[in-house]
Amino acid sequence: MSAKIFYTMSLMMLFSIPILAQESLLKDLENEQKGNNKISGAFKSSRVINGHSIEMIGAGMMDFRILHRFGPVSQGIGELFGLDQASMRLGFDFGLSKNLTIGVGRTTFKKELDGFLKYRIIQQSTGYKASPVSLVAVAGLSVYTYKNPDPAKPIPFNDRVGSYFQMIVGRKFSDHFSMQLSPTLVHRNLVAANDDNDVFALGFGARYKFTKRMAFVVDYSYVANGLPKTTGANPLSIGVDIETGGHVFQLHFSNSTGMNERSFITETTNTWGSGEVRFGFNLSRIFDIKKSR
Amino acid sequence: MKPLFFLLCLISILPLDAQDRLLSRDASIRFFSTMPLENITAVNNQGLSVIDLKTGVIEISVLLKGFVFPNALMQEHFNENYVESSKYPRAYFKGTIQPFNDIRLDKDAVHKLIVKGTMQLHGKSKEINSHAQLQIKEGKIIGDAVFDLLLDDFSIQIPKLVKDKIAKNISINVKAIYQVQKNNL
Repeated sequence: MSAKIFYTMSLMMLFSIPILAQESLLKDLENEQKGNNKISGAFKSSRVINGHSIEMIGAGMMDFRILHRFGPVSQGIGELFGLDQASMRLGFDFGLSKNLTIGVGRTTFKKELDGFLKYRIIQQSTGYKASPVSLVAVAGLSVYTYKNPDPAKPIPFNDRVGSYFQMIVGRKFSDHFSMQLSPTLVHRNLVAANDDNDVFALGFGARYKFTKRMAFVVDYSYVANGLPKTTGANPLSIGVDIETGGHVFQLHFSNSTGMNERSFITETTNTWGSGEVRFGFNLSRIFDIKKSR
Repeated sequence: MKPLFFLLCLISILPLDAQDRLLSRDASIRFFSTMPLENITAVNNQGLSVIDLKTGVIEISVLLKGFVFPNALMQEHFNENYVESSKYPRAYFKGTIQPFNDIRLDKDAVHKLIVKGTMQLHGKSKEINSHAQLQIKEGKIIGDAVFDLLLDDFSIQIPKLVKDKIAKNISINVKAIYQVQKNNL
């Protein structure tokens, strides 16, 4: 290579550097900018369907939840495919901080009151201090409040109580797909003679978002032990989430009727195989209850 | 002779007007949606902006995930449903300011400017003109601009259910305190 060509090329390169740099003066700075790397919106709602999801409702927010579970669809037109029977749960969840939610609810079945505390230990994030998953812990308590029909034999308080502890590990894999696993321990103070007080279950939840505001969701719990194999069944719910601004509608079909962990994990007896599937919905309305600034 | 010429070339290019480049790493970008039913405002205080006083080129860049809303639900809807920040993480503006020739950093003044350029948001680009001002006061350099964006121009759709709550016309307010850049980018 002759010296002349070498210098000409060097010159061209030198002049080209500032021109290239002009294209975006901010490129280098953009690359080093941190910003908010937390991943949110793995699920539309704080519940997959029955079970808790890795989503939190946010500080200062109240989630008013109305849940309905109907009778078996297989009852046919005479019972309007199960819609003639309904049980419901009314609940209020409060976001005390962005990582802590408490909630209370009451279910018509056995007039059961329940409450829970849900804490997000780790939120999925990218970049500095990245975490591939979110980790959430839940602890809850439930109490039947119905009276024994025989007034001579009141049910002692102790026998009415149940509790559960749950760890949820979940990940938003893409804008569309999220999945979570939730090992759960349910404890019941009073059980039938052959049942265990403690029931271990592994929850599985997944969603596939097919439009910006609609998602397909599956919620399943594998009950590992503690329930008699002849009567106990694993609750499987399949549904659609529809989000309309402040509301999320979760419409689904399920073999369970329970609306709290104790109930849907330990009291599901119907199976999909025998066609005892029910329609149900969750309606969630989020209110901002912080003082306006 | 030739190495000297080479060196001269190098020297003539390296300074690259370093003195005339203004940079802000904490530009405040605020937007307002004003509707009878609901007013929404969000702010991001980590905008990047640079002004090259030699060429009049201005750039502003901001991470959409960094916008802070009055509540978590709005913020999530903003990122998930409207700007789709995981797909299009930044809003970016590049344009020129006019006139830029008589801006002297050592003299206090308020310069009224016209900014013209292209806004990139949600995968779309749109030409934007705006009035702006650059205030130089006791060594401080403060830039200000207010302009409007039409959500339609950026294919950001508002569903019918919330169309009374989110304005089609979003007002953007940019305020940046610039530092003279010491070394080359």
